[in-house]
Amino acid sequence: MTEIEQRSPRSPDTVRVYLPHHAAHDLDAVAKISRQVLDRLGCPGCTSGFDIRFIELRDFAVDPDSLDVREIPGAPRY
Amino acid sequence: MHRDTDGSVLGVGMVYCPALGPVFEAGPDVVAVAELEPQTLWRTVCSEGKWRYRVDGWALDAVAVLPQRKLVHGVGQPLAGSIDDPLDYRTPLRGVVDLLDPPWVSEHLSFVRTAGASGIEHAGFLLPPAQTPEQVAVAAENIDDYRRVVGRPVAFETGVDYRAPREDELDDGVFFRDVAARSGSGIVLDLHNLWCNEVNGRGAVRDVLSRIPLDRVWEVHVAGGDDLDGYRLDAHSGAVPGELLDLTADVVPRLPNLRALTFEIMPSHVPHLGLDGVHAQLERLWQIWDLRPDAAPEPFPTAIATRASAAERATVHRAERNLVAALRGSELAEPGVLLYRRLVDEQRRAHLAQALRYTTTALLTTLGAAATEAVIAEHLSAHPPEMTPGVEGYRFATYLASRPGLIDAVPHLRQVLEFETALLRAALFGTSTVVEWDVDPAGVLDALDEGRAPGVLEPQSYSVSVEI
Repeated sequence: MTEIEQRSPRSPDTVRVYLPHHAAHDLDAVAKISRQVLDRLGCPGCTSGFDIRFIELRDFAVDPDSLDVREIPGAPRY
Repeated sequence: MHRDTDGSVLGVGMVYCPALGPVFEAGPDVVAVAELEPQTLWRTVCSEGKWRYRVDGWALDAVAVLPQRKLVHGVGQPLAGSIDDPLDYRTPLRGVVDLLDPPWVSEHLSFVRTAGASGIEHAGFLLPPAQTPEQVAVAAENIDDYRRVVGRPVAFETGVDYRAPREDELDDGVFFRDVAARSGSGIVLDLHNLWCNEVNGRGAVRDVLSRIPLDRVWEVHVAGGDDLDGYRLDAHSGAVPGELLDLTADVVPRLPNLRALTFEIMPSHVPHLGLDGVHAQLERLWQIWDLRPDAAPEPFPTAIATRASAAERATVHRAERNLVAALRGSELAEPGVLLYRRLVDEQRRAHLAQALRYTTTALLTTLGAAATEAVIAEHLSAHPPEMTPGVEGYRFATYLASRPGLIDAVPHLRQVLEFETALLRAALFGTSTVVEWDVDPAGVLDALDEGRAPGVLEPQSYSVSVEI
């Protein structure tokens, strides 16, 4: 069993992700998501403005100019 | 070389976020004050069915060791509300104050909770109070209580209000003046908020300044903003506009008890301004800071113990519920209320992008933006806001899990959702989960990190254990 994420040796709030039987595998992506999880859960800071984080993610994941989205044959419309 | 600061006169500061770490590490001559919004380091956790705040002690310690003096600026228990936070915030708040030793503590003159048939609900956004004599009484009592919690002088922040002014309410300056007078509090003069109010059709900044007691201003906040739907937004989105810097330079010499001048920027906007841009803002603010009066400030005013009547509190709560009902409704409302609706929804969508980044990306890359937004909108309309991104994300994850047709339509969504739900479950409930993958999880997450759908991957069996 390999522990691939530890937020801080001192922090009791570490979310740990284990992958039994795959100790040698490169799992940077999994490590990153678990490292970020506690940073993502605090109360928002003070602003009275437009929170752009969903818009940024949307524009990053979907090119609004090309609308290059893979169609799923037979997928229901939402 | 900047003027030395000591005692309660602190100098130029900046709201703390980790992205600004290099600027703070440059030392007090560059930025003299680290202002912490303590609730950004709190998360809600649940054990044995009871929710409470848990402070990220590791992150808090990182703030405590910064070389700057500290200020504490609350963003979770605003001072105008008639409904108190049902969770014990007093213990963690007092702990933060004891650790950081700020000369005063500030919070917003807003509300964020209402009580209804289903219990206490979060409004999803700091909302403006009705500016009535009853609200003055409730705010003053809240300030008195807050002062007892933190054991320090308390200041309220002059807020932004996107609604049109009402003839049956006090004007902005009179409202701020009356709250300060009844409570004996200080004022955080947020000039960007007041400037937004003026641009959006409320009172002119100079009129507000002519009515408030300028000797109660202990701190000035400045920030940048954006335009949306014809409104100027207090978005903390970058550089302070030159016009507002000029206004700040005009105002600072009139503030005999000014102790800090603070620049606010949201973490998500730091990359756009850049650290060099932040340094340039601070340099300009130090120049303005040197315009303050030479005389030493007066001592903090004497606290005033005050209570609101039950009738006053009930009147305030009715106004709060009316505004929240207008925000949750779909009927036509005044443009300012429609803007608040949009801001609340966008903040909730941002929380989902924050807490469920990979799930949200999987939806976007496969369904596209419009269909993903429709799924989220359906969830938002059916569920009231939650107070933290983690709980909002967990509720949305639960909602998605009840839509098997949707999950089956998005390749790998089932495992991505289960994995992120497991992370949230560990963080919120302290519960361990094993997630079974039928492909390499790193391949899926790498693709989503790049903003693309993972595509077809070679079948492999992985068991991932998520623990805390």
